[in-house]
Amino acid sequence: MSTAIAFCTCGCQPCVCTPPSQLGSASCLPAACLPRPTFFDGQVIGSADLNAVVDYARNQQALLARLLGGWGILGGMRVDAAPGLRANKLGTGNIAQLGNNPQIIAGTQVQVSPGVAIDAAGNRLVLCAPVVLDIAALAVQTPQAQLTTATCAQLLGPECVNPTVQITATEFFLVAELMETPARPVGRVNGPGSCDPVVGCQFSRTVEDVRLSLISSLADTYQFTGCADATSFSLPGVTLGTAGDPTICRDEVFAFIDNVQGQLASICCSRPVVVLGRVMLTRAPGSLAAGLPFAPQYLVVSDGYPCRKPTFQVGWFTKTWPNVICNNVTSSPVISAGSVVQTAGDNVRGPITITASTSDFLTINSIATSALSAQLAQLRLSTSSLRVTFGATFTVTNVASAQFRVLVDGVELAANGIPFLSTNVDTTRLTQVNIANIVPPSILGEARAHQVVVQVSLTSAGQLDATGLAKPATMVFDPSKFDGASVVIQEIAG
Amino acid sequence: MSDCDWQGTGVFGTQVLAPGPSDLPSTELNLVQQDIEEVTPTTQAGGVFTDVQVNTTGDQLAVTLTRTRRTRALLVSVGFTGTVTGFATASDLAFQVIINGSPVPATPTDNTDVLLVRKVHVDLTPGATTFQSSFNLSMTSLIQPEVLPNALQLDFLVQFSFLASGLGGPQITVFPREAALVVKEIGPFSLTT
Repeated sequence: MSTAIAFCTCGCQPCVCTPPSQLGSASCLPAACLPRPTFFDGQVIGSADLNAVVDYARNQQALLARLLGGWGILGGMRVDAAPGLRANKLGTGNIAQLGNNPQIIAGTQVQVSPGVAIDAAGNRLVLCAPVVLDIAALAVQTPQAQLTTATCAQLLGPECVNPTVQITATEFFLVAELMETPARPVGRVNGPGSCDPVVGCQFSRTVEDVRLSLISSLADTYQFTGCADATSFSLPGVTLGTAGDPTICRDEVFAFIDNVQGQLASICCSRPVVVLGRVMLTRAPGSLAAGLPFAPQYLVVSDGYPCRKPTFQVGWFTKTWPNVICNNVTSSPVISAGSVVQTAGDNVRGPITITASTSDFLTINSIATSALSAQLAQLRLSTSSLRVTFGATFTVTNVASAQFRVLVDGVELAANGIPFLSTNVDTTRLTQVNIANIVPPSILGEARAHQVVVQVSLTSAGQLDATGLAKPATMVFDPSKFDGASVVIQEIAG
Repeated sequence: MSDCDWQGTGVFGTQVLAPGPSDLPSTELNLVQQDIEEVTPTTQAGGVFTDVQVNTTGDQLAVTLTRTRRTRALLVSVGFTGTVTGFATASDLAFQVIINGSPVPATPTDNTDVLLVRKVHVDLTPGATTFQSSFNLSMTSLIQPEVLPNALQLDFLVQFSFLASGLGGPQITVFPREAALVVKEIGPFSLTT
């Protein structure tokens, strides 16, 4: 790994040069397949042999680091306001207690704390002291960044304490990457003795440093590959968790992991980087900057997950995580079967009139022609049950009775011929209906993002109009007259 | 979301890479509830909505929820039974849940249609075949954030009103019930909440 230096002047005195820096080398599996140097007595050993020892050891270490432990931040390297700059925290809840980000900074300087990371090539990135960066100055070197206008929630996610505040900002990712700089130039002698003529100059060390810079976008697969640029990596386009047989389900998961890890072991990464956080440069932060002094430019900084990918310390992980898992499994009353996994619901939101001339089932709408309907946002777990609740009050004309039913995915569920979600109401005495039941997974069948709608069948009271014809049976839900109706479905963990 | 939001790839939104069912946290957060503590009669004040009371010392059927997000839906459940007295005719009996002093609009721009309302029919007409002096109120409703007041602290209050006019001093008597009013904040489908 020696570097020939044609531009260095060197004589018998110490060499003086300006060494060029370069980014760390790309990672590729063939590059790690180096032969192991071996030596024998009487062998003439040159720089190639000595460097082969170093290269072999570095490659082995890097290979294990990136594939066994994984790339990411091992600790530190947090992005915060530079000393002296005032900032507002934007996050809520535990996140706001655990760190400073997301935050808005009155100014453009941030400080990156000391820390260690491993990039996707297995290189160690060590920052030994805090580094102050001027994001505005770095942004000048990233002209391809785009100005975007979005709400705080869109930019920072659900943690944003003022989700609707709109800001116009330029988004960057602050990345760390290996930078190698040749150092310690020494004279090269032409002969076996130290007094032989010096014929050149070469660097005898390589300083491994960290370069911090901005990039305007990341490849979609960055969280897997750790590469700023696109690679051949492709996430398998499969849906996991739908197999009814748990053994098949498990095998599918392991096949998925094998596929992903196989690709990660063999892809070539041209620019391994570790994202430290997102920084957004803005001149008009709106109310986000309330209480801060005026500044020509502000920074919105977020160095939390998912952009910042921590790699757990094995010691910490094995000490702490089993307790978390085991406590939950064995004794925790907080996380247990019976938990409500997800909830969906709908209400009648305007006057709805059901007019029937037959006893056919008719769908109840929520407003205008939209059906009163609720659908789970996610697939139901295969072992979960579904709690269904429908309730309404109504006014009827010429109705003797009404049969209400709730359809799940368009089907009236029943066991042994007995419907689960159906009831008959004597409308001459009652003007309200309630259906509530828990449908077990054995009745629900395939796990889906289930959807329910409500239907009613009206039986005429037999009244005639002035001309002697049968009057239609009508049922009215009118929330302006206190006749409301609502349906709620909840997934209950099994 | 940003380019580095790998959850957007869809794979990790499915079930298998999540913990098993027993490891999932509940998405029902910040539960607040109020019991009806004893048999409690309440006379309607004039022709306006009157607060349902939970004891004879005059405490209201009410809860206060301090929610963590203004972006989340709330699940509101009301359930109790009772009887009516103090008049001798038929009437509808309306119930409503108001939040921070106002009914909940059906849509952000609609003040006519409201949510969290129900109506039951009672009939104290002497000798009537439709005589009905008791009532059962049961309501569970998911309220979306866009129709809720723009505040983190929400005060829920259950009220009643007889809709027939000229009833004199109509009265309802509610019976003891645990969790007669329950409000829950519905969190996201998440493994970390």
